[in-house]
Amino acid sequence: MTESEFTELAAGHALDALSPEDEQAFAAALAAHPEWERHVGASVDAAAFLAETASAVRPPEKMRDVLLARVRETPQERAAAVAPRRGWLVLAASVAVVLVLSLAAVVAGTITSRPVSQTALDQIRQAADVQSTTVALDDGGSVTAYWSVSLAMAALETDGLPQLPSDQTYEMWLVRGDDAIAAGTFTTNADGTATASFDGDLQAGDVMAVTVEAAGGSGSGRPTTDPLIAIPT
Amino acid sequence: MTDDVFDLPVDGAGAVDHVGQLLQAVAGGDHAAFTRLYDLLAPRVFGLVLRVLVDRAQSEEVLQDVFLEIWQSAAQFTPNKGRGRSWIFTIAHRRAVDRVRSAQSSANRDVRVGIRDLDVAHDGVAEDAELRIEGRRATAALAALPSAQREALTLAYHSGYSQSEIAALTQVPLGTVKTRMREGLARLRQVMGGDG
Repeated sequence: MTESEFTELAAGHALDALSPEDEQAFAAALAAHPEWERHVGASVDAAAFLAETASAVRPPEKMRDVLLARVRETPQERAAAVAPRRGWLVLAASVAVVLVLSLAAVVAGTITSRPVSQTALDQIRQAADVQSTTVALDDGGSVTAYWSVSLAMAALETDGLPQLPSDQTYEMWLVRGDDAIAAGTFTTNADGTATASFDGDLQAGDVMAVTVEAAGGSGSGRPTTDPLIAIPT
Repeated sequence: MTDDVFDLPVDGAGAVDHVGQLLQAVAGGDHAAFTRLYDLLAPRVFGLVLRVLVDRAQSEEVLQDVFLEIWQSAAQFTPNKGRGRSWIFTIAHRRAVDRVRSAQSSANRDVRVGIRDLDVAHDGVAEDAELRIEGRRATAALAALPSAQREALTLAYHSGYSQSEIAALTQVPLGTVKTRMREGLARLRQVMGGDG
């Protein structure tokens, strides 16, 4: 896609007028070209001017009371738990610290589990250049990532990770530059534990990421949700 | 509610983003700031949602949903990425369009794109002077666009039609609709970015 074509999509996106296919193409193009974000911001600001051409209308007074009461009972997303909706691939690759993200949106479902080989994890742990990081998730679970650049391998262990419904799965990605390379899927045991190794060869600088996708993995070959973890190697 | 608290915008460059400041306070759990934000923007947001949905009851529901989302996800607003009111209108518009595209609402969508629909009526609505003045400028800027661009923007933004629906309605190729939207927005931005 050319930048000129992208600016057309950005305009349509800002007007909420894109078809679902164009919306996907827009998101994919932006993920691959984060420098094009400036077109998005410009279009969104221009669309906001259109909002101001609609006449103001006073809402019913009772709505104010109902809303303010509801707000008092509604929790907010915490700043540290919020991930950017777009361009997270770039953010993941450029931060020096691990992002810790909330799993509040994940719905616990029926228990699924499958046996996972420990071989890859054992190999990594025994490598001379093994590194690991544990990420605590807001909901109480944790994910420990292990990797070895010399072996070009990466794996993770989870504890207390929410079980997903049967139509969803956790998917692993190696984020390299602007690309998210699919690296396999996994599901958790009843107690939220899981062990999984990343498909493909890890390269130094890759970011290990996990997202929630449809069962079988993302059909588009790209992440469709924000990452639960994003660990730079 | 007084409207003399807010400074009039000066050329865009030096203006303080008051709505953005309120959003940052709301992100920290400030209920008073949220109430202030509602009082400031609810009439404008409601007017927009009503324009898109036409149906009053549904518009009231969407208005609630919009402000609940603002409360819940205020932390997502990043000041250096745009103005607070743009962030709010983006949420409002997306929710209104999502609702209007559900089957029951589509029959009511407003196809009228006459100049009279661009009128900004403020009688009886207490509103911030800054918003009111910018609303007038935006209306004038929109009215000054070439009619094909204005039509594409208005059908999309105020009536909630998709690009392919607009192509069918106006009997032009999809590519032409896309170009008109881009050019229309660019021109609008140019005019509004200039000095008022």
